[in-house]
Amino acid sequence: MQPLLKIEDLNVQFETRAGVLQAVRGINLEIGPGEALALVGESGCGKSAAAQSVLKLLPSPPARITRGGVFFAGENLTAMSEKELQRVRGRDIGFIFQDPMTSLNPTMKVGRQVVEVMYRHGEKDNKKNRERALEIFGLVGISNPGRRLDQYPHQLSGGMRQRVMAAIALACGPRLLIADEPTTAVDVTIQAQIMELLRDLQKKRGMSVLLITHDLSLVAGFARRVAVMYAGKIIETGTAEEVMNSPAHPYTRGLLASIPRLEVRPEERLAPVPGRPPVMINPPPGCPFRPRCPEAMYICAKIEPGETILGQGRIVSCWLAHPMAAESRPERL
Amino acid sequence: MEIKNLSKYFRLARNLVLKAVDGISLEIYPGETLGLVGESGCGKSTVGKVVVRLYRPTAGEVLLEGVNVHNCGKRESRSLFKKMQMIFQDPYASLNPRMTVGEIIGEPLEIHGLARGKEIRERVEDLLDTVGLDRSFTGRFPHELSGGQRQRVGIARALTVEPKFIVCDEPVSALDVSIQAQVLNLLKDLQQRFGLTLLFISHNLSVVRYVSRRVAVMYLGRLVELAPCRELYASPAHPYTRALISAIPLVDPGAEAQRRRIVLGGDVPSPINPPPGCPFSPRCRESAGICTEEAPALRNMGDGRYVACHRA
Repeated sequence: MQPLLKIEDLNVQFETRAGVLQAVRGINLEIGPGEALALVGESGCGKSAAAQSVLKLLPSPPARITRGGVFFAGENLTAMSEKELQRVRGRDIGFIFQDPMTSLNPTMKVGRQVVEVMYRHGEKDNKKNRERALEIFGLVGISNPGRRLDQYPHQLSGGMRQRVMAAIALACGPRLLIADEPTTAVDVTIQAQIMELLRDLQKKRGMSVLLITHDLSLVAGFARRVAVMYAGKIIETGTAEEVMNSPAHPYTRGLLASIPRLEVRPEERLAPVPGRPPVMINPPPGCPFRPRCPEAMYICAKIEPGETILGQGRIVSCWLAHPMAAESRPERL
Repeated sequence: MEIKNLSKYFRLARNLVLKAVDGISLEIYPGETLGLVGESGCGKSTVGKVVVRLYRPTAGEVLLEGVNVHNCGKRESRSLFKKMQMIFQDPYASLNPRMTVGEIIGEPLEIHGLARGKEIRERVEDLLDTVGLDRSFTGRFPHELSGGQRQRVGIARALTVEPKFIVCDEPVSALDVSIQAQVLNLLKDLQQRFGLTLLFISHNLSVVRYVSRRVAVMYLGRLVELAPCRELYASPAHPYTRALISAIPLVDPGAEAQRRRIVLGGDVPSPINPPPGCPFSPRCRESAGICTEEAPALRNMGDGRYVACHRA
């Protein structure tokens, strides 16, 4: 089956005053039609930069895609002109941003913001568009949709605004939805509502979803496959069960041990990853996780590990996973 | 610490009153951590701010070791600053950007005349050790630090005067998971080491479960449930608590697939014109006649458990 979205060796850099920041360092990802994939990592790991680069949403400069490409249904998005991209944005690929307050237009009624997307993509009959917007508002669970259409973003609660964002993203019936931290700005019960909505849309409409999140606990109920990012690279991929139940990378293990979980007795102490993520400006050689890694070996400080394939779609970038690591009983650093 | 019938109203306009906190009573025992949870706008932060005297209450009182914190003599009032401290959610906004870390942590010592000159420096270095920061941080400014490091500075500042009671208002919400766990462990350790009493305010129920002995749940300015941690999470009695707990995503995909989820409809109603009767009734599945007419009082259910629900 041909993937709907294919990210190939994507590299993204930011020019900063302190030097060139390597935000994304060669990531590969595929999402099939109707598939939900979660890209997980902490702030600064490059997950948002990667997601936004799919549609070239990052301002350039300072951002620059230096290598690799993004293919959507076989078309190279990276090579497209701004004009061609505008045809794809919102129509084939919908995007839900983290903070609805800063990404909605505060001076425009929310109904018009939904209608505008349809108009831009060739639906010129605005009366019909408005009816369609009403329908979509109902679909994303906005109560009293008729009245809401004529309200401004500031008149809505955080959860409602996030739904309006979803409505805009869904206005043209996209085949892929990219949701960048869609629930960080909302409360637990609203988070549950929004995740339920995304699950529903993916299942019922066969839409592909790329979920970007720092919250590993959102993954279990949502995505079949997970990719974990650290310092601009995907360091582990697998199914949700594989990654959550038998993580192969020490960072993934550390992340999981950092979450206070309902399934675990509260007396059990959290085992956080020590230290903090590196800033990827002139990073030292070797594995970027090495300074925080409890299992680091001599090789880790010298050479960055390549990908080791553990199984179908199960890949890890760690020297410990090297086929010869087990028998050599390497010394710890 | 005793909180008795505490209310805090904000007058927004002539006829517009926002009831942020509406008659809550709580006791916090020496050396315990009481978790206070609820969604944004439920009034939990307001409770914390009234308790440490950043706000004056509209009604009710707060007693610390029997002393009314809002109504006491000048001398007692001064000594209360040494007994109560607060750690804020946003370590970016709560540290003065023009002061060095050393000045921020040392300032309370000067104000209260607890140390002078060289002593201050020694004490600051001690505190940096305590919160797990290198001594070289003394001369740095807040903008040079990461979020986790700033929160550690905030904790050190709160500890400077050796308080007995600390209000922690969403202390880890702005931090990444791995850093969050570091700060949670630090808070837990400090509490044991110094025998601190903590009021731990958070919207994150998993975090609260990890640090608290007892947990209070707030909804629209009122307490809806108060129970020992274990009982609250194992068998929540209030429908709102049940929904909250079932909304927490589980990390284990197997367990997540099997559980029954209660997804609440709608949003939290506005505290400006709260619905009559039980504040939760418009979203409650078990709501019956009486629920929309009369607000339920917090009832003692035994075993340290209190619930405000007609149906419980």
